[in-house]
Amino acid sequence: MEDPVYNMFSQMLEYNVEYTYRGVFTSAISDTILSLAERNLDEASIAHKLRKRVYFIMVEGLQNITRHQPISQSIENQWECPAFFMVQHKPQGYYITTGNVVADKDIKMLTEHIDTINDLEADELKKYSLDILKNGKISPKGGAGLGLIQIARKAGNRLFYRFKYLDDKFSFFYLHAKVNSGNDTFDDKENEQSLDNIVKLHQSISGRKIILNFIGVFNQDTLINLLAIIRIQMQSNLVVFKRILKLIVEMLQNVAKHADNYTLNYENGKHAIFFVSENEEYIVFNSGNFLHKNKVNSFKDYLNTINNLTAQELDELYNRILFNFDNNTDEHTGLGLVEIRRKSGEKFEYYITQADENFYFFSLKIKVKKI
Amino acid sequence: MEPYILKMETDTPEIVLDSEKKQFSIVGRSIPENAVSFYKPVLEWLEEYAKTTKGDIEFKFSFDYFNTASAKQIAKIMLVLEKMSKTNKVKVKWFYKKNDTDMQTDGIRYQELTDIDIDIVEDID
Repeated sequence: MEDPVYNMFSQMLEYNVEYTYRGVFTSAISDTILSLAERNLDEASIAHKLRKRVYFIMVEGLQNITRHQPISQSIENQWECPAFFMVQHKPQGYYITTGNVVADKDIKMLTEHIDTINDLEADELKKYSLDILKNGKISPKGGAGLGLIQIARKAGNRLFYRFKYLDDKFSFFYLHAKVNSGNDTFDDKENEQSLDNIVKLHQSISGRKIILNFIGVFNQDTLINLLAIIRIQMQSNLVVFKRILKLIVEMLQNVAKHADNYTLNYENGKHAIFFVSENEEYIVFNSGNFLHKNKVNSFKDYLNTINNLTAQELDELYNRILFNFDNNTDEHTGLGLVEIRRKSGEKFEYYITQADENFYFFSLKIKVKKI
Repeated sequence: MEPYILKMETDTPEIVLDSEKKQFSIVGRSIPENAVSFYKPVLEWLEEYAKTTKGDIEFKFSFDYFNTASAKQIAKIMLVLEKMSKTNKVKVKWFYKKNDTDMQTDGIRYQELTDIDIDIVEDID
């Protein structure tokens, strides 16, 4: 059977997605996203100047999203509403895309503003931003209309955008900025195409009722940042919430410890995906990472063994491992999956799909019943 | 003995091991990347304390939550305390927040699997 997690991961890779977050945006969450994205940037071997420009655009883009989130509860399909943020790293440069709901009455103003920006040369842009500063044309949401100009100036390219119809009051606004890595010529057609792909990708994520989605290189910082986001985003009663946090800790630390390094997008690291979806009965956590082929068979056996244990057997196994220090390293506590299985109370679903000659993609799905 | 004191961090708990003030506690969230190395100084301090000092000890555990790697290191601390209890009076207080049945159960587990005097206490604040 086809693995939906690997499908999604592959789709992201096809579009060179280095990092993406979709969910609720608050300024605390934005800070966290920024520190996650910054870490990804630091690990990529790119010129300091390029990195600074990309970082600047990310900051502006995230501020735009956080500031401009109209209350859009009238929209029938709420799954289309969460804002999103995406960074792509392609040979020709970085692409930063933001997406958020806007009121239809603002579309005209936004369109005119971006078109004006796109028609101006670099020195004219500078003058335009000074004009706005002087005239104090402040937008109702507290922005000075400067954010987009600054993004365009740092990108050194024109901005691409789309509006997608949601209902008669609201639309979804995509903004796509590119920062060239070298001196290659600017290709409008290619950039239009690249934005179309993102819109498509975003639609497919929305269809899966995903409330949070992260792709990137995984480590302890990823865990800490994701936990911070989840803490803000999820509101639940104490017991379930703590159980969920513990589950996520075990899942992500499993990935951070056991995933094998893999080279993607010119970067070697523990590339992985983590996303959370929700339906009426369950919250579902999915993780996916690469495994070397030598580990696959024994790992499969281990998973099946744990899956087939009764609650009591799981408890006994847990107690046994808890006080067994024969193999006392952090790499193999042996408790992680046992704990995940115990805490979720459900068998876990998993997929192991061959990715290339030497590596497999392992994905794990954990369901937690809502109370 | 020199006290061993660590401040609370995002992924690690506060640790106080102070023989003079008779304070021994681990408080907070424990999800370090490397639990073995994080708890190594704690275990070493306690081993040394057991060797050099006689006297009652009351050890307080008050976790928000912890990962499985920490659970094993907590088990190790319990075993050191168990050893100490042969020659000293050792008491463990295991705190859990109201309704946090998981944390309560974890305490009961250590109570059942070791020979130490463990009180499972509901944390009022």
